[in-house]
Amino acid sequence: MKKQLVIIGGGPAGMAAAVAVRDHGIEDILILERAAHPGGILRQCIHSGFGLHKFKEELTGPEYAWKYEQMIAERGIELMTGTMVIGLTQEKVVTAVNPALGVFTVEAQAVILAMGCRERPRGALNIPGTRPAGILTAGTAQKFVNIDGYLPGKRVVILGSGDIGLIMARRMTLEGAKVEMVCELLPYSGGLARNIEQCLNDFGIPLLLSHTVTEIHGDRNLQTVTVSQVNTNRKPIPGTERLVECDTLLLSVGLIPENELTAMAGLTLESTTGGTAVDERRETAIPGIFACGNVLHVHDLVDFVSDEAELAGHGAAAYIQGKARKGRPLIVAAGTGVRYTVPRHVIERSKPVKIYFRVTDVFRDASVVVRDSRAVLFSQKKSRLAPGEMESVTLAPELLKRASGDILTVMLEVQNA
Amino acid sequence: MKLKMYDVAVIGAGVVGALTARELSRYSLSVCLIEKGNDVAGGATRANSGIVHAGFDAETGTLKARLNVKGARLMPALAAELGVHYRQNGSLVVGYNAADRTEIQTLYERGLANGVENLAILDIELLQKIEPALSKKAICALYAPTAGVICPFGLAIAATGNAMDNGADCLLNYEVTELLREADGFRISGSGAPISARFVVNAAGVFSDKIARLIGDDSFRLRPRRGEYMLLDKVCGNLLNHTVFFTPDEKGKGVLVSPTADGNLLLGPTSSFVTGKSDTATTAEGLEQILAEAYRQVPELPAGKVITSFAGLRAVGDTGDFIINSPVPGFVNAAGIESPGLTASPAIARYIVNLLAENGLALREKPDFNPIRPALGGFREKTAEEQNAVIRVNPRYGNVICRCEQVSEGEILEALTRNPIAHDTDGIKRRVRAGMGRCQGEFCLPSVAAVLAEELGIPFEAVTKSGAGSKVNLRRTKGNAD
Amino acid sequence: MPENAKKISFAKCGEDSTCGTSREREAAYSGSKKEMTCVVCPTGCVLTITLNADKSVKSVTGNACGRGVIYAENECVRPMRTLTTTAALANGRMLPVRTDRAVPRDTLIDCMREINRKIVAPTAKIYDIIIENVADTGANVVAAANGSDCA
Repeated sequence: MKKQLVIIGGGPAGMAAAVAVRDHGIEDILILERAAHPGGILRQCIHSGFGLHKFKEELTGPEYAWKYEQMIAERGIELMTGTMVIGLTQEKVVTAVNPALGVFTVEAQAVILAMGCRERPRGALNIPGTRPAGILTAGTAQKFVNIDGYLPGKRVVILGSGDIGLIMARRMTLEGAKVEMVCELLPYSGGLARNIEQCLNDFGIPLLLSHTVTEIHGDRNLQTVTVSQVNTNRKPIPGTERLVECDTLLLSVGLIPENELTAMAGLTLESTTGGTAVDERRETAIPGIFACGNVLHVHDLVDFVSDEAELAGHGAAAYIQGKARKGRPLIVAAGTGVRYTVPRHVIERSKPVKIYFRVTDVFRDASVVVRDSRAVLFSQKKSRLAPGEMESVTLAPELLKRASGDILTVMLEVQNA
Repeated sequence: MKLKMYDVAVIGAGVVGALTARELSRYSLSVCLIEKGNDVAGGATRANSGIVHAGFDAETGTLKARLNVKGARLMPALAAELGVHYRQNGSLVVGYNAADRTEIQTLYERGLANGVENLAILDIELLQKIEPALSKKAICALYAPTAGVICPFGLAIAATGNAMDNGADCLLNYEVTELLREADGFRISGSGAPISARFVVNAAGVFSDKIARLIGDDSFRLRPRRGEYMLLDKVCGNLLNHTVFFTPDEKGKGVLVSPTADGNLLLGPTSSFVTGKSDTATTAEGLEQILAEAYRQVPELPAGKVITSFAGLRAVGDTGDFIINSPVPGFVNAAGIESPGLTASPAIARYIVNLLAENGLALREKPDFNPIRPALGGFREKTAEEQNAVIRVNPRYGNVICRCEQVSEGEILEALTRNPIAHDTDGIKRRVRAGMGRCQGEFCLPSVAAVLAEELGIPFEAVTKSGAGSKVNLRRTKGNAD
Repeated sequence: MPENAKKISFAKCGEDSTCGTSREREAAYSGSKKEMTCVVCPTGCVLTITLNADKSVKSVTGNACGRGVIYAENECVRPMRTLTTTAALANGRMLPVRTDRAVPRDTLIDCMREINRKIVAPTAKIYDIIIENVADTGANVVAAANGSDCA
């Protein structure tokens, strides 16, 4: 099989990219999606909060996905569900498998990677103790509850106060479980303040900052967990251990971009994002392979995933249409206070570029500064910056062209020492 | 009441019990393999290093030494017959100082005396060449090319399956609590219906001393010694070419770093006595110790690639050697099978059968005994053409359920239909690796549970992780099940 | 459970000094001021509400838009929430559903009870009304997806 464009993943990133590619004139598109329906993770995100930026409406995950499914259908874009992609080469040959076609290959002119991410499991955290039933990542519990209609347990401890953990605290409570607490290793929560309010405070669920689960007990099924306070080095403080009876431990302790295929194609992964490096069109180091969404870097809001996917779609269309780009790459580096930037480099300086970034800690009254080797080119005050909230700055062409040298650094300057 | 009467009952479906049952199934005998867990291979067999040792460790002249070497020789052919992946990747006992060098020489000589083939002592240059990821502080090593790695529970599952295919019965969830000597054998009872057997083999792992005492054999005691392990992502599988050991000292063998038969990297074990015979919890200290020691051997170890950790209990006997004997006529102990137990297990099985024969068990070979068990799982290793030939006949092999290990619905169904069938999600995991990958079942658990529920005809909420008391879900939230 | 287990039942939220909720912040105020996070949109403005003597809202600061003022006023009197949950389809699958407007927070459990009693036809289309005037709140429960997409 030969296609102009193959999109790996029919979730929000893949669908938005497909729409963008089609709207830029490319018709020979194939989306490969492993689930029986498109929508990706949005299918199980039945809570609201999606679409406020993109559609000026507050939608649930399935509603947001539905909007794109309609766009895909209206444009007649080919979507193959129940199909798992198992291989990708540097030459853009995609290998996939499904019950009808068996194992098959697609030679693509361009590929957009939109595989999303997975959750970090207990084993990766080295939590000692037994290995009973009842330990799930929050997303797996979310699938059981929202897709299958089953409650994993009735006395729940949640480790990790990222949004998925907070959302599941509310969800489990509404379906009749008792959520005993949410433990958060850091001294601040990674989740949105509105979720702390609606998911914890509304139900009187305690949030224990600077706490973690240090041991698991229970032979066949979970019986108790040991919760300990941690010090500034995130190490458990002896003497602070307390036992919490529970039958379910939900883990919301990190998302990992799903880059097995990316690595198979020979692309390297950044340790800061878990994804590969891209330019402003979301093109990777392999010409014609693009990446967008959670597979590139973990997003907080799906609205920005859609924006990013449109960039990748536009980029892929331009690539297929043979529109070459000129310019010396401008490297975007992460400076003090900034953990990473996407994109990692900029090629075309004649258009504005939106640089997404995450900060390393919670900062108040800081300035986001963009500078080259000689001077500050851009500065913007921000009253609050947090690692759990992805930020962006838009750099105008004049600024990009003015930049001297090859490196632009995005960094923070804190006002008060 | 007439009880079901077997020629031989084997208590304990670990790798020793399973291989013994399989050996016995060669002959015209009725064989029963009795297991207290919800699945076979539930004890030390599922939580050990998976190493097939060359055989230089054990004291010359001991059963351990003899059966280690014999078992290592039998393993490649056995693995091929049972469709279990065996990798003969060789081992290195690495020395860092003069004392190590001396001990390595001792091990070399002991190996020769034990009948180990092709042993060699490597100097620093050759060592760095064949194992580049090894610490540059290593100065020498004992190289044993006959050592290898195998999936220990895969071996036990396959042996059980082959035994059952050849007529043996396997009774699960049967804890033996009573053994009465009768005129023509033994009456076995416990958490299942009582059965009779003319001969009994005690392969009950860390509980073997308890079983032995049931017939009045008080001659040995077993103490559980826990070993903790860490498993690293398959991307680390090529970091080492061989299994790497420290030179043993008075504290023991120390932590090893080894590629596994399936392509992961295994670190461990620790070694500490525990009181509970079921205490397989991991500890913070143990996990720290594993990493600290592993780093000494492999400085570039990517600790961030840990995907899981686990622990098992060694059945440490108080005699210093395997306890394979017949304390009363018709009853054979196979107790204290700690390292090199896995390696020795094919030889132990034959040794036990010989002991039974000496006890009067008639061995008439079955003409229709089939030693071959087609491999279970491993679909991802076939070529695309081979895969498509299967998918055309059964499209369920084209439905990939476990993304990390690329396991299809067809394979999961095999795990649920081929002897010994899986009854829980852990059983599926150990047969076809669904849930054993880097995401540890985060993605596939709901789908695996659904396939299990449908195939075994049980409600979704009845699906367990490892048998009674380990349900994956508590209840439905609303509505009726479909 | 280990023999030397220390089992302590949890302090009420706000009493425990390690608790990081905004109820703590609420308790810290003397009664004429309240602080809360607005949940109307993901921005989550931190609002400071000054109360009159009769506990009605005098003024609100910290809000980026007018919805924050309405939210603050509601929160002080009777907090409102949009309910998102699932309803059972007749074929055993789950249909995501939502209220078409916010309902009083104190009615969420009643709404859940009513929704959990419902069996929905699998032919339901997105935005079909599943339950009218759920728990007498005036809000309808609508499908958030097509029943046919929920297999």
